[in-house]
Amino acid sequence: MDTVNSERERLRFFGRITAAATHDLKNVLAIVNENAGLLEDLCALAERGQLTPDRLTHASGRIREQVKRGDGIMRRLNDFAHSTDHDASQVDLGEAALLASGLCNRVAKLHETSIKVEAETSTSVTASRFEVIRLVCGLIEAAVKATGTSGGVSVTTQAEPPSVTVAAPEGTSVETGPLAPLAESVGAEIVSSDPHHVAVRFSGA
Amino acid sequence: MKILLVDDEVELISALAERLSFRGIDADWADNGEDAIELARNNEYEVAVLDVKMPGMSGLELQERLEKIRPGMRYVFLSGHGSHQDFREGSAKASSYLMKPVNIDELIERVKQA
Repeated sequence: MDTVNSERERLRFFGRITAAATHDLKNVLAIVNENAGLLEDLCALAERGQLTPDRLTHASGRIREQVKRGDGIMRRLNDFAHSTDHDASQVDLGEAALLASGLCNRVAKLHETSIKVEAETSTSVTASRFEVIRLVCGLIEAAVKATGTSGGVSVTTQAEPPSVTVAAPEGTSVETGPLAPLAESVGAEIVSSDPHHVAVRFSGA
Repeated sequence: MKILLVDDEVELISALAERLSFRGIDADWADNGEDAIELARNNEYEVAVLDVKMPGMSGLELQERLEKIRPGMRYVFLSGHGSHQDFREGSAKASSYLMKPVNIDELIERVKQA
């Protein structure tokens, strides 16, 4: 069996993230396609004088919204791709938590839950950015699976000690055991005050 | 012709339903499996167009539920994934399988052939 720190597992993680992002992009393109087609249909109606302008505005507004959504997906995917640029660097935990949450949005949606991030506290650690993101995504995925439809997952960061906390609703249990070696490899440990509440705590900035 | 469209992307499915209506196809839509089942209980559809991957109930699970309510209804699957697994599952269980974004003329052709 592949361990969490094997190259195979790293590749699997990269594959999961890119598959989810490209699936979302396909949906964005499909919505743009249908609403662009709808605009063409409505223009044909306009030629016959059977159209009110609000229908055009509605369809074009949807296209604009999807361009914005697609831009967000592409920015996150690009940011994620660049996380492999350096073996170790200063990693802003707030930014990493935001990116990881964004990357996990699709898995949350498929499990009929949502992720709320409060990453106001900016703190940095020296580590592999890719591995920190993989670790936080791992915690979020575990929380999402534990949550199901029983509520939302929250992600917060703390400055002292530098940490990222992931909480599922009370009464659930987040299984993070397999992630322990990954936490250790980035100079962190996984601590849990309650079964639904887990944190990755870094040893120092 | 009356059909049922099911996809969790509301902005996609509602625009598609409107475009189909301009082409003489009466399309109801739902953005989740439970609502689709409710629509199928109350309406007769010749064809259901289902997204393969949806939150909660997948398109394949929904097809199994719909077959019990409306035996004889035919199916076209939509997918954004394009994975080999989706294609195998979708093409094995449906009359047709289309990748997003769809060409509306092709969709209409597949719906009529289903």
